[in-house]
Amino acid sequence: MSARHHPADAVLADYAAGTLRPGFDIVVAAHVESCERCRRHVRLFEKAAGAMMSDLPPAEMSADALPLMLARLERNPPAASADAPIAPPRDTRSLIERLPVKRRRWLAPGVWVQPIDVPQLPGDKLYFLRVAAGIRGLHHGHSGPEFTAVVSGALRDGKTTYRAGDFIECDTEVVHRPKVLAQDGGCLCIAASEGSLKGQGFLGELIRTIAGV
Amino acid sequence: MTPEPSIETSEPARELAPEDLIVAIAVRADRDAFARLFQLFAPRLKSYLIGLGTTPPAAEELAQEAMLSVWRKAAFFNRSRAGASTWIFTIARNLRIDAARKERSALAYAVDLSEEPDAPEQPDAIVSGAERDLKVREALKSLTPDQVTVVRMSFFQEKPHSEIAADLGIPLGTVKSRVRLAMARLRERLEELL
Ligand SMILES: [Zn+2]
Repeated sequence: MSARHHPADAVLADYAAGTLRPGFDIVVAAHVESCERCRRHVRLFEKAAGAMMSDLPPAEMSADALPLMLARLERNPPAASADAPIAPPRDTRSLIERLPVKRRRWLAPGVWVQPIDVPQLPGDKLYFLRVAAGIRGLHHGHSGPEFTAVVSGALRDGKTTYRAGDFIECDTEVVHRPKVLAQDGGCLCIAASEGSLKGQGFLGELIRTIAGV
Repeated sequence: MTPEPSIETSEPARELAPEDLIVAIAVRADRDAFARLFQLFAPRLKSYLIGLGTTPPAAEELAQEAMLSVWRKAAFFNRSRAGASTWIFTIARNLRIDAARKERSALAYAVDLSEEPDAPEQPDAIVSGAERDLKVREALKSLTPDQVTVVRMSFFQEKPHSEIAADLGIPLGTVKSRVRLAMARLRERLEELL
């Protein structure tokens, strides 16, 4: 499975620099995890950011910074690579499986939304959305940017089909009428949207339309 | 201070490349090597963190935390994968994300790329960290000064595009397209060079 719709370079660069909005970075991570191309690109941007960091003008450190640091080394011996793991064994489940979730809410037959329980800016939303095959949203615009990654299934917007692994970035200028395609029994997405009273989005409007919220 | 002499080193730590300093820490817990690395990187990490809106005291503390991680994780450093500056940068970046969310577990939801080798590894053509940094600089030289400015702002200032637009006195749409173009160009050049 290789994705055909990727985050823009600028988004991957911000991801590598660690400056994406909380929640939005998780949607990008979900794509990056399954996308070889974007992992490679993130590593390139990390190298650029690392080299540029070492060229920054140095900030002045406190006079006792180094002695304090050296004193701390005593209490923290370096880890040996082979026998003394410093971290608990890595959780090998995929990011999607590891995310802590809140209760699933059924919005309509065949449609549920499940908020993801991670730190975010006030009002922002990060959630899984599962929509059964064949359901279509109304034409809609956006009140703010939104990131979506397709986890499974497929959906179509106009002439574009998004399949598992694909990444969709929406901003306020785009108008959508996404339709979930009849295959694999529906479509699961992970999406982040910026807090706003309107709460619209690529899939958000689909929810609103169905649930009448 | 414990006057522990860690001087089985044949060369003075001062003349080693940052990558060699990390290896010296890994193989013999070399405190002199660490001190040198600290002097090189801690002030720049602090500078990086302040640029992203961390207060100076918190930035110094985070820089210390990052350098402590460098000391502890030195054995995991793989110079064929990343140069010292990139490795240390990603450690500090992750600590910052973690701290910013005030939740120690936040990082558990990131995707860890640190164990991955770079594209097809050529053992006889391992580029040193310093060489790699040179190539990044070369890639940056292929951007216009305006593009370099927005790349730097994107990496090292957590500002919405609207604020960057105000700072540079140009329309928001111009900033967006400039960032898009600059990052695409930078990535293409890096792909050619690295
Ligand atoms: Zn991708």
